[in-house]
Amino acid sequence: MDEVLAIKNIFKSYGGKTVLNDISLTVGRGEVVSVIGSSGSGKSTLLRCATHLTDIDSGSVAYNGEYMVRTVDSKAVYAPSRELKRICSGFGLVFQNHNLFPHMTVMKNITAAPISVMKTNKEYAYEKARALLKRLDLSDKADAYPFQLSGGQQQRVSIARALICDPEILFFDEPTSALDPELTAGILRYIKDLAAEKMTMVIVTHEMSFARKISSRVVFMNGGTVAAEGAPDELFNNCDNERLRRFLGQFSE
Amino acid sequence: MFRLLLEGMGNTLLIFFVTLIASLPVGLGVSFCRMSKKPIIRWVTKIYISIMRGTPLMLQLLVVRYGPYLLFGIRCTDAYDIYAVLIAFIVNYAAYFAEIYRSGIESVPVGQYEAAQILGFGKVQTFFTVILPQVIKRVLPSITNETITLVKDTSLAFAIGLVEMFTRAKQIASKETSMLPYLFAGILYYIFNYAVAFGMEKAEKAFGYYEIK
Ligand SMILES: Nc1ncnc2c1ncn2[C@@H]1O[C@H](COP(=O)(O)OP(=O)(O)OP(=O)(O)O)[C@@H](O)[C@H]1O
Ligand SMILES: [Mg+2]
Repeated sequence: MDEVLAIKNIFKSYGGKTVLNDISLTVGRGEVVSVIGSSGSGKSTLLRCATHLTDIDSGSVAYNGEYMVRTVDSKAVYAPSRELKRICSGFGLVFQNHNLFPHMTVMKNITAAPISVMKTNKEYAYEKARALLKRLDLSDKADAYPFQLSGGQQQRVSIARALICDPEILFFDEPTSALDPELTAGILRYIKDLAAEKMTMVIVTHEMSFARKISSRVVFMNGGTVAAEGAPDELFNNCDNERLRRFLGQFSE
Repeated sequence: MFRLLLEGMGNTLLIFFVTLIASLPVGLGVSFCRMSKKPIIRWVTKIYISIMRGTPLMLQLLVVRYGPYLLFGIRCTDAYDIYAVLIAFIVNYAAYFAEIYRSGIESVPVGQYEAAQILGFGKVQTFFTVILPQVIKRVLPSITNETITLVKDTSLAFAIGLVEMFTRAKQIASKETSMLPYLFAGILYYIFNYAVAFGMEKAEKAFGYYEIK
């Protein structure tokens, strides 16, 4: 299988408290992996470690077979900065609270990275941004500032901002948990479209029915470990994992 | 009389503009030192700032002007007066501005840095394109306050006998035994400050096109 992301045996602790305890996860090209689990189980930390926002204590993370970090003599060693930068340009991340730049228009937010980081031709970047805005039904918002948008629109802009860099894999950390149900449905529809286009994605979510519908695989985290993993139907239906059953039980009422 | 006062105004303006133009960027550098990862740099900067804020500017001015002689026996001519004033003012105001910048920089949510990092921005690029514009918006009101204080502080140059507007007013007042020079000087300071406040308000408006949550 063509592995885009391979996480092997990573450990992470904060002040003596182990938050990620020997986690391994591989994501193949075109796969959509949902990560579920109760609050504090380490889902966000896993994404942060995979995206180099947080340094791991030990283990390895590789993209397309290239190590972003690996453990040598029981110490985590990151790739040299130039290489690290190139590896990191292969993924995108959509934050729970979007983290748009408040002083830039929607257009500037989306084109900032291609223009100032990747040195793309300006006209080309604008062209591409306009196409993305159209796709996300935001064509009339190009010149608006983030504070003038609804939460759902802000989140869509942040998806466009991640997509314009053509990531090979896109991470989402609870992209809808700051939104009301109606806006949530809107965002999920766009993510579903991306899945249909075989975009490789890892999505932390509390939307169980959504996870079930679009995922090729679901990972259940509990207490810093992967407690169960499998195809959605098999995981949601016939599970003999007590904790998972209890976790899913909360959603069925 | 008015002409003499306006002559004094020359030095007042000089002190004001040079101090402002120099201490704004210097203060930014100082704020970086204040937030440095190296404890020793952080620590030294902290002491410097606390001395600048904890002692009167007039005392600092006297130290800069007469320190070289009193400490090392170096005689300085009167031509040094204006430099002494500028040095003392810049060193003092840079410390105040540094603290303002620091509070501004620290109030930018960490998510802004993280978003920039994910998009591939380097450290310097992140600071100048993402962080600084937001910091300026946040600190402008505090900068305005300091700037208005600076206009009034220029009169401290009087303490070392540098002829600026206030010195002039005092000279004329005692020669003519009249309150009028003080009145006029007061009016000039007021107009000056009014212009400063007006300019800063325009600057704040220029940054009003967006809102920070
Ligand atoms: N920077 C940090 N410093 C200290 N502890 C942290 C830090 N970040 C996370 N933790 C701890 O790590 C644990 C896992 O946090 P994490 O945010 O990964 O959970 P989560 O599964 O994303 O939860 P949620 O569903 O609420 O978002 C928590 O106990 C949290 O307190
Ligand atoms: Mg989380």
